[in-house]
Amino acid sequence: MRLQSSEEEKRPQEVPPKSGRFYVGPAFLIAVTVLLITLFTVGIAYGVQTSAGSRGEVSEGVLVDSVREFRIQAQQWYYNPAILKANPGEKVRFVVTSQDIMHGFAINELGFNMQLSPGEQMAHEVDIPADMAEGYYTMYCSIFCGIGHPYMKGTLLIGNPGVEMSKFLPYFATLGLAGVFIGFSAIKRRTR
Amino acid sequence: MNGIKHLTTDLLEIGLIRRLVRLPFFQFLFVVPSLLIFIIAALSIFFGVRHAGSNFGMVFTWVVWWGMLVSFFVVLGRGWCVMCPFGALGEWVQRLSLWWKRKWGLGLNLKYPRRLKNMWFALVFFIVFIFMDNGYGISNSPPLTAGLIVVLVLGAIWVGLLFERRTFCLYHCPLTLFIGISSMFAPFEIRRKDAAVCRKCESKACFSGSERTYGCPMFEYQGRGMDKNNDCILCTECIKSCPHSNIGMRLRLWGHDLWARREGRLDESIGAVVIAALVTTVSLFLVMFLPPLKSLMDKILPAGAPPNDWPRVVSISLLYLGGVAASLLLMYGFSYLSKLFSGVKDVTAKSLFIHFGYAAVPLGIMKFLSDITDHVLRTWGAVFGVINALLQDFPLNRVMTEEITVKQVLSAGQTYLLQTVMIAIGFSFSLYVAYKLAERKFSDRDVAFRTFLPIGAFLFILTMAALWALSAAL
Repeated sequence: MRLQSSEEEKRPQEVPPKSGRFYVGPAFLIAVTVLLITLFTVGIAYGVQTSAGSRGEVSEGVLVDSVREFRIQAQQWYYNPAILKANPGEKVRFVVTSQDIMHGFAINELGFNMQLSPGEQMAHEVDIPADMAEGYYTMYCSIFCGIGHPYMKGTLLIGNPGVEMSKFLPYFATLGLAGVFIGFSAIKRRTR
Repeated sequence: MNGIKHLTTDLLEIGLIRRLVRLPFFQFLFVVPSLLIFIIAALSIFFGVRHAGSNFGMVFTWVVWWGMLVSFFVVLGRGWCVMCPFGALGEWVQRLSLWWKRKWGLGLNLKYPRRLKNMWFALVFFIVFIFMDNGYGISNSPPLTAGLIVVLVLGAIWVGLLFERRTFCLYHCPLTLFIGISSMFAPFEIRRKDAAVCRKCESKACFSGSERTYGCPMFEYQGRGMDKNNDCILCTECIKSCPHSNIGMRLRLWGHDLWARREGRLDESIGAVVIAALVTTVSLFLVMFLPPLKSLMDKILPAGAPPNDWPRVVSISLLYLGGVAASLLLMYGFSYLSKLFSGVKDVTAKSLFIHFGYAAVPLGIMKFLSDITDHVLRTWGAVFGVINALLQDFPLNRVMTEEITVKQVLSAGQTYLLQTVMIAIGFSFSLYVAYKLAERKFSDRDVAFRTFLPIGAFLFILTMAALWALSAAL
């Protein structure tokens, strides 16, 4: 369906193509494009994977009076440590301090939401249900804290859940988006 | 069938809509509820609990309002501006009336200097605003948000008193660049119907106003043929003013303005790339480099109490400006590549930068939407918590509740999938816009395709930055 627009007559004139002096072949163009996006994509993926890993190893906390205690620093826009491990049936204490501005620390599956003021240490105890499924649970900032807010997350491992399938999602998404680009370009090239 | 025809021709052929938008107090109808909520939110921010997560005004402003603002871009364009209390306050003081026409008001109605009639200041204001939010946490601090409200109210009134019409909204609002450029994506427009009627029109009432109307407050002249939504605040003043009923309200394809506008402008094109950069490259830089850079700065700079802890502020500033600069340089580099690929001798990389910069807008909008979606889907229960807290001490909101409960709609993996789909939609739209722009620039489709390829590659790289930045938190 073509939408009407009374402004179509106002569009600027098209610029006709000039001489082919700088012409390069289509194979070369495609090769350069593929090389560029591959380099950038691999660089970005590698950079993110290594920087995320550098935020800390898996922390198992310390046992204090049979309570597993985690001491966590919250700051723009990450937690340290960012990966915690506990077991079903355990009592867990989260001791969290915000280093800069206000942040939150919430794990929806455990039903708590801590609201952290700058420099103030807060603690929250929670019983992990014995029948809680082993898996990866997201701990995240629940207070809007700027442009990096969507990335301020960490992981709570319960039990020994094995391979985290969601870690592979970005690779599939990358392939899918590359497919969108290649498909779109192929269609447009064919319909020239 | 008639219903569909109306949607694609003129919504004003539907009697109810026509009567509604022609009401003299049409805009006032939207401003009143918005102003009431704003007053409650402002009281809460000024006098309520000093905690961003428990304060009704803070949650309402930075989650509900911000989400609504961005959502409007994919529906109505500058839909927020029609109900914005800041612009309305400036206008009311300037005109000394709420909606009815008065011959005189308090405003001096000075002409705004011609040299400043562009988006450069707006671009600087926007960049500073986003920096202040990230470096100093405006959206995180009730006192700073209160300060922002005071600045906006005083700014709107002060500029309204000095300069004619809505000069503040057009050139000074810190969000005018963001809202204006993003509104080009909206599938909705208010435009003249017949150019010939406008050419014969002597009154030009859509711009100058009539005995009962003021004319366009944003300096748009429909008679010249409006080509984009950037400055249209949907106040419908032109519809009410036109003596020939020659202004229509139409639905159209998403993103139409991005390729069907007149010649591009450097300020707008840079603005479009900056908008996309904030949620792609800048985000990636912050995710990848903030922890190590801050550790480095801790050794070099003196520590301070937040929010003036210099290692953090300097690190964020460097990465923020670095991300914006990297995106602009990348866009210029790929524009240069596009020039080489085109094989056209007398086209410059700068002209291609200006022409194609707009293609980044859909990707930027969808990434902004995906970010806010993530927050809303995880914490939607908090809205009820803060409303409950507000009701316990209405309207000052001084009661701190025990806990603000959060509830999630989707799991982390499901949310990531949804976000990926939104980013994919934005990327696909951006590719489509880039190709339409290439076709418009070059009549030869082969040249158009060759020019498009590097720009498509640039958009793909921005998309990868957005996707992988999200994946770091997965």
